Amino acid sequence: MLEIKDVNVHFSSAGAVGAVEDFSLTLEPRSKTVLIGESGSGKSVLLLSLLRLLPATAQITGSVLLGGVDLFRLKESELEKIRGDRISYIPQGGGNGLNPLLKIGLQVGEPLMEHRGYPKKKAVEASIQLLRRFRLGREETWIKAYPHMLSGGMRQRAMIAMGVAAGSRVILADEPTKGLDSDRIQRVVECFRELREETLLCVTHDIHFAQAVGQQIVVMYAAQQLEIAPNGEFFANPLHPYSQAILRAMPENGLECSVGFAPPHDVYASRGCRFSDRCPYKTPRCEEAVPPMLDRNGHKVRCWKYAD
Amino acid sequence: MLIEAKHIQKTYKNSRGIRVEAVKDASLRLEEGQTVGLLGSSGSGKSTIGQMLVGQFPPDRGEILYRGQPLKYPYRGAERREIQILYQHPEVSFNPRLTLYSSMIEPYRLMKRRVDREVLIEDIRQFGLYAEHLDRFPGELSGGELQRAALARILVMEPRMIVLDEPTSMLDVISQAQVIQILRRVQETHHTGYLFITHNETLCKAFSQRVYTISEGVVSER
Amino acid sequence: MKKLLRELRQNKTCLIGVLILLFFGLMAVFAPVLAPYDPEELLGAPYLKPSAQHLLGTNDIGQDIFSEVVYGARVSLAVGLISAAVVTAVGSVIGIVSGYYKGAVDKVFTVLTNLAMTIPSLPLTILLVGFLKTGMLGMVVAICITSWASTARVVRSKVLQIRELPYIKIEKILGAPDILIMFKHILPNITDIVLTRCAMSVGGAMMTESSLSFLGLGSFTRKSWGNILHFAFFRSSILNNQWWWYLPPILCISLCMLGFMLITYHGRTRSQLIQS
Repeated sequence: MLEIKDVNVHFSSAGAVGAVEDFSLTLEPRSKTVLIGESGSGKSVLLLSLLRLLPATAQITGSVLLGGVDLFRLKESELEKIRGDRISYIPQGGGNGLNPLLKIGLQVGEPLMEHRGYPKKKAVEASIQLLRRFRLGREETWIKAYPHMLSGGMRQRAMIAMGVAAGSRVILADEPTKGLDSDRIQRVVECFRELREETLLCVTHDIHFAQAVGQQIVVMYAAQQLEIAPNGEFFANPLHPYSQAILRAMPENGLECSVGFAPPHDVYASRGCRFSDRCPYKTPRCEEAVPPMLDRNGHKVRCWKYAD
Repeated sequence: MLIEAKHIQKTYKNSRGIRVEAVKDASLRLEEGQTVGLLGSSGSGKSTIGQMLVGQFPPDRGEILYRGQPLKYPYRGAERREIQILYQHPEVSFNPRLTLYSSMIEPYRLMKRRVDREVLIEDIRQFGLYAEHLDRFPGELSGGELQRAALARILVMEPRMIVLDEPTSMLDVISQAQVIQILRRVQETHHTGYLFITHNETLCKAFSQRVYTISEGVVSER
Repeated sequence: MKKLLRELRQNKTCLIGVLILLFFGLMAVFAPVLAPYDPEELLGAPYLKPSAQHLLGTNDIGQDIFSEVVYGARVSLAVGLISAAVVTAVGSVIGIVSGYYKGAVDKVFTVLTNLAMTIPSLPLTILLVGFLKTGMLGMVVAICITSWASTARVVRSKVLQIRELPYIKIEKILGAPDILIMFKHILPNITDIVLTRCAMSVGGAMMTESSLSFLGLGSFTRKSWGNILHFAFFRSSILNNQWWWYLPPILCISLCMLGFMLITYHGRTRSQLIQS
């Protein structure tokens, strides 16, 4: 189980964009959680902060408990042992996470060499099995290939294989479908569904991917969580006006624009709800204070509409 | 008929010097005020067709007719102005060293239209952009804002036809819906023709009146 | 300006370079104040050792060496900066035009560039200086003719990348004139490279000037560091162990070169940042 409690991230250099405020989330073992939000909402920063992979200008507070151990209190050397072993991180943009000068087999097998003490030859052999699990096809050939020879979708699948190589129990993935076309997204979706033993936290702006993969959906907007709900509940009965707008804007629902454009001013400076400028249900109260996270039978929402 | 491509074909050399036949045989037609989808997966040659229609490079074989007249590369005069494109990546659609204001006034200058800050603020409002945005650099604007600005910019040229090369695939769903909404409104008032290039079948069907599919460089009509 | 100062404080390497160049810049500007004598003035006793009166002694015809060195900064820096400015301007324009148009224009320029790069530059410069008569102008022209090529080449390869970016394609499709695209949209995006090349060219040009002056092909009417070295060498200062005569100009040339090398690290680290 991974328990994220009151994580705050602020950057001393840049403005408020990309920050994270009071992020709390519980990931049950073998559950899949998808975090959705537009670019700049802080979702990728949160993911990086969990493994303390952010630049030194970031100030992080809060705690991340993995099996009772707080990752934020560990020394860098201790954390290094956990990264890639118990928690894996799959970075954005598929291919960019792979070293262009190393063959696929060696890269996918690398966590085994590093954390399980496998010799090189055995690790490369094991990578065939790993790639087969994610149905790369012609695995024996591809392990001898360099990353640029694979398509974007194949690289993404190789990255997932690398992520689970050492038997990591927690997988963190950042925008795994970005820049891929529909067919390839479908393949990546299947790969993530394949992860039955692992706990997944995945960040995306692709709502279809969220629906297909996530058991629990978290919505982020301007550094704050707005809604946390089980998949079925979220898509059938979204509570937050922002979530409702997202679902209405989906092509199959008619591409409806039910909220306004993002305002040009800094929403982080406002006292009230950060979404209030765009919200069709805005009341005076929304501008006065940030709403608390309300729990309605396990469906959490941050909106004054449901306060009474 | 606004634009018609007749059996166009394009082969180019890729970075490793291998000849790739990106477009084998493509014929398509587009009427004024119409949105025609071009649906295909990545590497199918759909973007190459868009590039040829917009005059980035000429087809190796076949011809492109604009209002019944064959187009000659490079495009000049009215046809250069009237055929525009909206690209997939808004963050690289603007010169990173110029503020949005400097980028936005350029098409006005090219059209020899009077422009100042007030005119611009008035014109960009319908694209969900405000005076505050004008002093920012592209890196300080969101993908949705940039894509709407890119659209506002090419519309100054009063185009008759716009190639939409996956204009929303990098955007979140709400920004996507907003861009599509603006495109629809522009089409209603100006009767602009769109060639909508996409890999997203649901989106393609929701937005286009007619759909061509392309697979391995061959276009067929649905 | 403030941003630049802050960046400098963080980039120590670059800061050292700036300080070195500032030192020599001030030396050149305030030469009449700093130099105790007129460097052309014949003060009487030749070959004097360093003393309180003559910090670096006197040369073979009794001129104060310290004053020579101070005034020498003027000629050396002027030749370096003017040549570098011209070299960079010419090289950048050729690089941009050839990278932007590609095709036949590019082929012609590439052949010219390769030709200019394969000809050994020092012999050609010597030939040109001899042909153009000695003097500062002749030297600047000669340096420019022989060293624009590497700048042009670097700029061209960068322009080849930039011209494929959507914002350049969009400008073409909007029908923007080529001149506008090249100088408003491409040039500002390669300033890092252009400035880095410029700083490197200053160092190169100063070196060439010194070499030419050392060989006796420089300006005899005005003192430069190379010029001092020329006389020091031909009056056997090394054999006579008159280090105060030959060492200061060498140190000045080397330090200036180092200064210009170090400030290019500013450009490098920034472009690396952008890439990552």
